[in-house]
Amino acid sequence: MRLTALDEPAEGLGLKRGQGLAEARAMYPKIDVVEEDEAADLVLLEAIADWCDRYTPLVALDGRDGLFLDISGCAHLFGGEDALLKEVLDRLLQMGFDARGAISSSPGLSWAACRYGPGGVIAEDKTQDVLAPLPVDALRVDETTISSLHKLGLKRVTDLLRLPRAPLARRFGAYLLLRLDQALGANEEAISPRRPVAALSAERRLAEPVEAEEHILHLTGQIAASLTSGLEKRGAGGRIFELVLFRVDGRVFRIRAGASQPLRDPKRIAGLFSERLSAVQDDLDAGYGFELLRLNVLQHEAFKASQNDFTGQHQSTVSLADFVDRVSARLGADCLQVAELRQSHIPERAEVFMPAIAFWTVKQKVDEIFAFLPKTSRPLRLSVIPNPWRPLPQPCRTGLRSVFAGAGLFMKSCVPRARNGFRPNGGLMRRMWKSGIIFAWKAKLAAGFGCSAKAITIAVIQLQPGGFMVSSHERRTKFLRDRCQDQLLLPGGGCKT
Amino acid sequence: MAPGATAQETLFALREQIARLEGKPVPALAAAEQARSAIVPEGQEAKSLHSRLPFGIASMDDALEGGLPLDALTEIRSLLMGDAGAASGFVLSLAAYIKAKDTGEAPLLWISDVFATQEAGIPNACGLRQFGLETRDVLFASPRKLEDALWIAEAAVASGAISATILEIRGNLKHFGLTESRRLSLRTKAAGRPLFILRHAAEEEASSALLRFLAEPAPASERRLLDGSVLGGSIGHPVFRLTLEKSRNPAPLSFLLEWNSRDRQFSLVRQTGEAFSRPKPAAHSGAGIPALADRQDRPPAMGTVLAFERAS
Repeated sequence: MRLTALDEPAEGLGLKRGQGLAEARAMYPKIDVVEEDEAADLVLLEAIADWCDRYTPLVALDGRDGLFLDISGCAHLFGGEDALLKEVLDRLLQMGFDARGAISSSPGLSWAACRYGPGGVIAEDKTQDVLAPLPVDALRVDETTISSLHKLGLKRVTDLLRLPRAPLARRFGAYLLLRLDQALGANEEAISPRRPVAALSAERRLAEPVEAEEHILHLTGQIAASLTSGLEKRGAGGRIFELVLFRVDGRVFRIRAGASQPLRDPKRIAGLFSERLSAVQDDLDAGYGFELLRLNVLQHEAFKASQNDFTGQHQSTVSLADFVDRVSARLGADCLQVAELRQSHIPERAEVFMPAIAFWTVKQKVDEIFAFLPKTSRPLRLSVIPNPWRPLPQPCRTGLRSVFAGAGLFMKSCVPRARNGFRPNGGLMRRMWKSGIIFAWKAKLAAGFGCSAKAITIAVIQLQPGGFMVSSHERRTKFLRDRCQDQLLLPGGGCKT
Repeated sequence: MAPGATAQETLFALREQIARLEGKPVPALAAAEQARSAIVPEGQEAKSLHSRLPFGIASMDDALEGGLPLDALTEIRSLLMGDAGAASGFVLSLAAYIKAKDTGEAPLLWISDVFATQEAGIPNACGLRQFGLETRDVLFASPRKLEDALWIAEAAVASGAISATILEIRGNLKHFGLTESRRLSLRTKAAGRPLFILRHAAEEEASSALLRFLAEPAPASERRLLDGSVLGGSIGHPVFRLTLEKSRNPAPLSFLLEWNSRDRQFSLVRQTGEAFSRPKPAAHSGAGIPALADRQDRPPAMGTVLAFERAS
């Protein structure tokens, strides 16, 4: 076991990172050692990265203890690079973190400068001066390369800069030179941001933190109004919005809300969040208030500007979209669904439920034309869970009769009609269907249910010997037990007795 | 003369107001609205006059005072979970009928609570289509809690963008009492959009619904051929056995109603002897489900049950 991190008093004692725990204990028996929790460290680093979103949308994690911030075009918002760096470090210090930072034209140089050098803002022309005196460890290459460099007496970057490049590449590989070039800014290096950059975003910094929900909503409306011109310029309306709330103590909340139609109207955007906020109320702990609000448009689509016609028809589509948005924002997109027909003989495969919020934008008239329509009549409802029937001795005629007798049905005769239209389609259902033999029976049910004798088609899947599962198409035989004359629940068939 | 006329005017105004509150058609009111709608051909006034949708069956329309109320709560209950098919079929046929008469593109909303979905099943798009409802015209909501269901129902009615709202619940729930139904009924009155409450396996309960039907399954009549004869042994259009339990009309009404999904029309079915020869059904597993814990409070049965003394 080795030491991975030290606090200030421990550093004062002369302990070092990478030192063996036994050795450290031998030197100072009373030191307090805590086992490392990498997951917790990562969570903390992520939280700091979230907080850093206030400075730039491009924040990347660097190893276990570093962050890269791409501040191109952001520094002037905070009064220049010096002021920005000072603000970040000051605020982190207030939160209780000992952080160092550097701003330079390349990520490699910033990394080297803040870990091995003085840090601070490095001007474009000072790159070589800053990098040269740093140890070779500052080049972000692997341990073996470092140790072999050390063996050759190449201890500082300046030693490498003086040497011809070809022999270096031959001896240590091209990676070392790539890292060197990246640190010097001669080779481009991209950081990988944690989140995609929002297409459009606007924010509001507050001198006095807000806590109340209505204030947040009011501000959201104002921010949305400032987004309008950006959306108009693109001829677009937002489909997915994200409200980012930065709490005073550094915690960040992200609240997403979707719309069924591209939106531009600030009132309706704020309306989305009013439902959303009431839904997430328990999770949203305002604490001492939020000091920064940002509204991101994560996804936008072409805005179909429509004119009101004289009959006021337009109004109803708007209110429908509003209703769908409100319900989806408050109770989740899955709460409100629309069924869509699919081409399948199997009843439960013939329909797919999709969220209404996604459905209303795409008008799938084509699908409806080609939709599969069964010849036989289908029930209005399908049971969610198949009803198992057991025991059953064997899948013979008498066996089947006993099944239905057990279910309260009386059967006069039972003629098997093998695989009558109940064929598994596609590979999706095959696994389930493969496990059993499928029988389709034309069964004749006797009178005694309040109706004359009717013929119905019944499909039975044998799942295992001794147990039958009645297929969804016929699940409503469960209801037949009570009321055979319930025609809605009958699969029909219309066969003659 | 003049003060008397003014007093008369005030009296009539008050009478009309009361009539409006009670939802009763008043001749003077109807005449006034007819005059108004003649001036304003399209608008809110014209809509409020047509707040009843006639079924086209004289005896039924008379009993329902003009037809199905479009601006009020209508409750449909079933006795057992096993009757869920008939009850939901009747509600959907009403919704399809409204949809057929309505030219707008407003969809129908079907709110179903978890318990009803588990017991009665999820909607089947193919079946709905055969029943006379287009797939894209039906929105399904499946909220987890009753409060959410009530909220959706209220929002849907208030939005005015839904042609008919169906709220499906099981049993007589404690948190869906008179207050909640009154609130929903006021919303429907204001919006002029119908709300159907579909109660499975429920008892009669005081609510602010204008009408309450008891829906039971009935045998379908046999299929009619073109020459007027019937095809023996065939299954025709679905038939519901309905009992009007609550209405302004004091006479109890029980009838068999057939829904023709092709023409989207209702028709009465002659009651045959067969319909009432139904034996008592076997106990369905659904009927064996214990009553809900959070049901409405009911007065306990009078008296107490005492054991007989031993004879010897």
